[in-house]
This record gives sequence, C-alpha cells and structure tokens, in this order.
Amino acid sequence: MYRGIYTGASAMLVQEKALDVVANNLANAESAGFRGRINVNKSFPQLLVSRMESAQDAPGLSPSVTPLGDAALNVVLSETAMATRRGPIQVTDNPLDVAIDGEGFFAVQDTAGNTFYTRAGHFSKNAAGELVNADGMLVLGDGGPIALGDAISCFIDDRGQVVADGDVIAQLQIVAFERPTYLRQVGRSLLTATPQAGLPQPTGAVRLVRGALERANVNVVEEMTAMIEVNRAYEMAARSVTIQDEMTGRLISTFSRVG
Amino acid sequence: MIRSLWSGATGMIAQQTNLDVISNNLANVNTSGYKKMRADFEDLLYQIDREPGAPVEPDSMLPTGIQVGLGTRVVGTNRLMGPGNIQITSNPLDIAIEGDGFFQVTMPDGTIAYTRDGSWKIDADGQIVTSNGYLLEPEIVIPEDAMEVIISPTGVVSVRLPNQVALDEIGQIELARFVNPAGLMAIGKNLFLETEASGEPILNNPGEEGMGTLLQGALEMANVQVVEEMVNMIIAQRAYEANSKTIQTADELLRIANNLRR
Repeated sequence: MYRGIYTGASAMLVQEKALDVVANNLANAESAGFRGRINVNKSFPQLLVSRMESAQDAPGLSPSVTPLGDAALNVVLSETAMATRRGPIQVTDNPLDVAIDGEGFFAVQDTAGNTFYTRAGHFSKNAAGELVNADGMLVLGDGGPIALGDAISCFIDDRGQVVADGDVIAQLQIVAFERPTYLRQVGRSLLTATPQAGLPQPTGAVRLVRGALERANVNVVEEMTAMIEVNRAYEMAARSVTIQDEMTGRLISTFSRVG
Repeated sequence: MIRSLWSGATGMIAQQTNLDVISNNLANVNTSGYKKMRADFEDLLYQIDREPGAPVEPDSMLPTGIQVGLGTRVVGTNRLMGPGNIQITSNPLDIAIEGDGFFQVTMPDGTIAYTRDGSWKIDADGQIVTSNGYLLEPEIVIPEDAMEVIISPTGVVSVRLPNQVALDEIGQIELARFVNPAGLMAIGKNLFLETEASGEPILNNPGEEGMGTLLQGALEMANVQVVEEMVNMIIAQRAYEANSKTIQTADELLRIANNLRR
C-alpha cells in the first residue's frame, strides 16, 4: 500500500504517546519535587526512494535502478527525557520540610535497603522518631538513617544539618549525578540511579531552603501549548491518512471502470 | 486506549481530594485547637516502553529510553501541628497550651483521646469536661462552693473557698506528647487517638520536657490561614481544569481516530 498511510499512522501514534507524557506532567503539576518529562521525536532513518528503469530503454541490460531522492517513512518517539530545571519553591513553614536550592537529590531508603533519590523534601518523624519521607521511607544522612528520638524541636537548617533540641545530630545526604537526565523515574516522586547517569556523588556546598517545598518543575502554560500542538498534529496526520485513503478509493474506482 | 485519558482522571481525582482537605480546613477556621491538613501528591508508576541504555544499533544506545508516567495520587494528608493563634477569652476554664502537649480526655468507652481544644466546662457533678461532656483525665472535681478556679502555668488547679485566704489545691492537669503528632488519628469533636504511627504518649506535667505551659483564660484557635487556603483552592481549581483539558484532548484524539474510516 501507499507508504504515506503508514507515515500518517505513525505520526498519530507518536502524538498519542506525546499526549500521555503531557497528561502525566499536568497530573503531577502539584506533586512536590516532581520532575516533568520532555518528548523527543525523531524521524526514522532516511530511505532512498528509487525508480526501476525499464529494461526496454536499454536492450540487453538488466533493469537499472535510478535514485529519486530521500524520504523518511516514519516518525517515532525516540525518548522521553527528564526535565532538570528547578521547580518553584513554596514556603510551608513546616520545620521538617526542606527544598534544595540548586543541584542534587535527597537519598531515601526503603525497608529492603534499596536507595532512591528524590527532590521531594516533605519529611516527618515516624513513631520511632526516625526522619522519613511522605511514604515512610528512611531519609539518609551521612551516617545512614537519622534518628531524632523524642526531641521536642527538630528542624533541618540551610546547610542540611538536622538539628534536634539545639544539637546537630546528622547531615542530610545530598547527592548529585553527572547526568541527572538519565535517572529513572519509578513513581512516588522517586528516582533510581542508572549506569548512564553515573554514580551518586556527594555535593559540596549545598543550600537548602528551610520550611519550604520545591513544587513540580512543570510549566502548565507550556504543557497546555504542547497539548494544543498534539491535538492539531494528530488532526493533520489523520487528515493525511484520510486523503490517501480517498485517493486510493478513487484509484480503485477508476481502474474498475477500465475493466 | 490512550493512557493520557487515565492520567488526566488521576489528576482530577487527586485535586478533588485536595479540595476536600482545603474545604475542611476552611470549615474549621473557627474551631479552637484545630490543626490544618495538607494533601501531598506524588507520581504513580511509570511504563517503560524502551529501557534506557537499550541498544539501538551495534555501537549506540538509547540515552534515556521512553518512560511514560501514569498520573498522580494523594500520598497522604499531612496534619500540620504548628501553633494556632492564642485568643484571650477571660473565661477561667478556657486553657491554651503554649507548646507541644495535648490534654487527655476519657471517652465514654474508657479509651483515652487527646485534644488541643482547651474550652473546658463543669458538669452537674463538678467535674471538668469537654464541650461534649467527656471527662478530663486525670479527673478534677471542682467543689460546689468554690468561688474562683485558678490554673497555674504548670497545671496545678486550685480553688478559692469562701471565708478562706489560702488557695486549696485540688488537682494537677497532666499533658501528653507524641514523637510523631502528625500520625495521630482525628476522630472529630477536636479529638485525636493514638496510633502506631504517632507512637506511645509521653506523659508529664505542663512545663516539663516540651509539654508546653498552660495559659488560663485563653483559647488556641485553629492554625488555618484563610489566605493560604484560598490560594491553595485557586491552584486546586486550575489544576483540576488543566486535567480536564487533558481528558478533553484525549477524547478529541479518539474522535479523530474513529473518523479515520468514513
């Protein structure tokens, strides 16, 4: 069949996926520390379109092939990359809320001992007096999990020091990656390291904002614009499929009359 | 079907919960001892269509792969235990706690509940009770002929009896504190119950170890900031709207796809 029909269809599929990504970004526009994703579309490798020369023009020779030019047959969604720009910081005045003003991630650990990285700094104390994130995972300090005990006043200061009753009891572990866009998002505002992202390195001088949360780095206006774009591109691709379908229909009816 | 349709729906559901929390905060703006709540969100699962690092050609690999998220959810409603404003009422049985402690209340079934609401009353037997008639724990009975009740910052309750110069000490108010007060379970009527998340209560007299001191003739108001809640409400509404637009767009795409074949 016509190549164009498949090109149109592939464009529709790409736009559907693009909408999936936009929808997730918008749904998480209020998730603290959420990192949006960006679609990266690429065309399939260019193909050489060629024409078969009839053997009649050059008797005695096998049919030759003459190049006509390049054509890309498909467009594919090749990647969704994590946006690394910072989200806006909202003051919450909760003493255990903390936002990173700069690069870096907090390290948290689940009960199985797996380490995750996150920008969501809404921490609290659990019943055992340990510092945990919103999911109850242990927040890691320089010496592992941080135990606040039954301290009366606890807060995290601008340098990431955990202060309980006036004593600095731990330093939050804040790590950076060489290529943070390559981290894998696993949901629950958590990220895991991948070989491409590199090893987590402790950051040097980090500045935190005390009593504040970093919001999602999603720009609603941009996402809305992307959504309109998706809608129109999808419409256009669908139109190209329809037109080619009509052309094929006309072709078939014309030929059937010849018969 | 398109995943975005469901992602949009999760966003709308999450914002509905958010609005529920905000409206409860606003409804309790005049409830003494009420502690505001905040909905926290996080992203759901990701579908990995192509692994990051998957080989594309013999000597090149996908840098970030294709990870498509499936929406959001409310991870928790966090109770913010920050202090509320203290309002002077001059009512001798209104007591505010300046600190982290909770009053203890005996429920009709004998369990102990905790409250920051210090608007106490006296029942027919002279016992100190909440507005709902639940007893203050430990029990304190005010003698019938008492002319004045005096509660010290450290919780000593004394009364002045007729024709007597010295005060009569009749009881001691005890407070409870929790390692994780945000883990308490609210049961309405300004009462909280201990849970596994909050930890066991630590009991002590007011003024000791972060319990906070008592202030007679004053009430702690709700720690709800109307402006903040209003702003949160606007954000919730807009986020809801944006997610409904996602659903609309997904619907539009499906309509177009359905019209491909005429």
